[in-house]
Amino acid sequence: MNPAWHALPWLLAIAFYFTAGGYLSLGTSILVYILLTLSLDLALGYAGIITLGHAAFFGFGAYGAALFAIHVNADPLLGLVVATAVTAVFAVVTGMLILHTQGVTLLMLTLAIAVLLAEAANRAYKVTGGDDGLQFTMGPVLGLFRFDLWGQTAYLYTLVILFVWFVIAWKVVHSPFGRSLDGIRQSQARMRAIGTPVWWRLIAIYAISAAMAGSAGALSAQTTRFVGLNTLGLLVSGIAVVMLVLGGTRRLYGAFLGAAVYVVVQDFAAKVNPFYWMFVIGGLLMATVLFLEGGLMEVLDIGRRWLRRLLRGSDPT
Amino acid sequence: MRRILLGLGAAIAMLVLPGLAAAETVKVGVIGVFSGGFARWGEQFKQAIEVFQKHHGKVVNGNTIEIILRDAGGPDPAKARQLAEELILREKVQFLAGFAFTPNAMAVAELITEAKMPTVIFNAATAVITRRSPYFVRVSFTLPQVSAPIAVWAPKNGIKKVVTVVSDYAPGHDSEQTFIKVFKANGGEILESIRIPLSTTDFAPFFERVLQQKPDAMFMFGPGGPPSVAMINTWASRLKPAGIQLVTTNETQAIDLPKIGRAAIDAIGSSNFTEIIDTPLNKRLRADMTAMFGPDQVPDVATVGTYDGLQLIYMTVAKLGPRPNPDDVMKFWTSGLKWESPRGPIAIDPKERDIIQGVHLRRVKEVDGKLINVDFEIVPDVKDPWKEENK
Repeated sequence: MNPAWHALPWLLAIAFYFTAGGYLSLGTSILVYILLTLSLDLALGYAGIITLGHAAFFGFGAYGAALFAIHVNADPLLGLVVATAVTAVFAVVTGMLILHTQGVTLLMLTLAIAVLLAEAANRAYKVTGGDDGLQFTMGPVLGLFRFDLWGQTAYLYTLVILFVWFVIAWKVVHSPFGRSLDGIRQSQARMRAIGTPVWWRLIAIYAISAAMAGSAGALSAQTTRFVGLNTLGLLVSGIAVVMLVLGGTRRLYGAFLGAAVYVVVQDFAAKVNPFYWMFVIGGLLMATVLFLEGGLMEVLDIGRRWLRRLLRGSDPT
Repeated sequence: MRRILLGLGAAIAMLVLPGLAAAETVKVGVIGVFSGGFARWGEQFKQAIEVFQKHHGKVVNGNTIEIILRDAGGPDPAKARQLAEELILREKVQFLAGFAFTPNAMAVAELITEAKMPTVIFNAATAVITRRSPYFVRVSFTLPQVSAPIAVWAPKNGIKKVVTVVSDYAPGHDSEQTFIKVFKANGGEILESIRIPLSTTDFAPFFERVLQQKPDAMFMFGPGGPPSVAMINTWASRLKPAGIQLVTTNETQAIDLPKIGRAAIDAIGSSNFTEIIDTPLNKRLRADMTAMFGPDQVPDVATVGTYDGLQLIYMTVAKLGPRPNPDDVMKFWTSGLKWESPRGPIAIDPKERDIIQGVHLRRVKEVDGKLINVDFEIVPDVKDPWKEENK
């Protein structure tokens, strides 16, 4: 792929900042969902860890950031780092318990952990605020930029964190470790036979993915200064999977496309008809699954090939 | 694809049209729940808006009132906040309104304070909400407001020992605390207080504990809809035969009674709106609801909340014009406003920006084969007792 393509999504994101007007908070929620979907791509897409429990990590990070801001320190970056770290630890512990399983069993176990965590948060009313959620205030980013009404700080802050995580994800995927994950996804038995410590590799990628999802949750909490039980809900796990499938798995950029299209379409559809907008989302998903096996990224690929042919006259591939 | 294209077309039209319209348009952003499991709240908002527009039109002194509906999809505070931001910054609304759920209303408090956005609460009933921002005003009710009068009435009428059972979230706590305090002050005794998680579907184990305590009555607060229906059914099958009465607040509304069925008979309630209220406006509202939406459609608490919220906004535009200064609006709203609601006369407490209204104590009865709430006492001009307690 031509390196220039890599700049495109980031340039678009920056251009959006200057042209968004009142859409910035929508933009921020897109960035948060991109980060969550990206984290799922690492676990589900690359390592083949079938999970419906990523909301557990998203919510863990969100509550981590909120509780840290309320009880310890209102500095956003510090809170983000702490929330990310505790989520990673939580993932290592739960990962050790469940990652020896595969397929439907694994799916059920990830689901169970997410449901247990959501119920625990519901019961721990004094800590989490239960169904009322937690409202809190954040300090300025780096002590300089306060979260403003227009959501400018929130957008740029989220964009920078997303970029950092994207670089990490890129490095991970293209490292020998990332290649071994590819192998593990295709056949755990063979990888074991050539001496790969499969279990530890899976725990490692699970932890990295969870840390990323935790960051997404923390960003969501910090930029809205509110965290509720819905961050732990099944819907979050489901939406992340939908966005990933929509955009295209194992592409990294698929997360960008899937999350952006999902949120924008939902926003438009819900505005045009606040009652039946879910039909549009459902239709879009069905069309994607039926006609585009590789998700919306396939549309981009087709477009790129077409463009190249147009520029060069003919295309040998 | 067609739907998406239609959506895009409509979206483009929405971006272009405001530029063409020259007359002053007052925009009111209504955040409600229009999809998913709690859509019945949104349904009530929508029906009330349509009936109100039929009664009063869409134009006030030549200014068109445009109502923009936004769907929060359920108790989703982050979404509510995002929608409020968009309505304020992008749609440039003059008023925010709606809010079925307390968490959604709480989530926008900081935002509306910073943006100076006059906001009318159509439903959310936790007492503390209006204290969270000086730009809130509430036209629905508060839970302490409907829980206190019944706690005064009960000890005088043979109910001396009570077990309270409430949903474990802010409105439930509000209801429980108020009931206990007032009930004890009037000589009642609380045997036990049980809090049930919001997601509970099987209430039998909890009610079994109530049965063992042998109280005169159970005071109950549920989240409305199916869980409340299940709670009343469980009461009817386990506790009613043992002679334990049921005391609730809004649980036996006319809108839910057909779903609860005969199990609801003899349940005692306390509400700011009862279907048999004999005001001309209530009769007109009922008749139009049936005519416009079908014979099963009856007005409920959120319907009158929305209706009165719009009355307030129309009054404000009539008085202050289409582009009022937010602080003038708040001054107007805290000037001791009184008006006629379908539920009878209501007023806004100038100090707390909360509603003052009559509370109806009633009992479910079967009259001519139909279940209705029959008032046995109306307590006039009830202020929110929580605010009196927490000055």
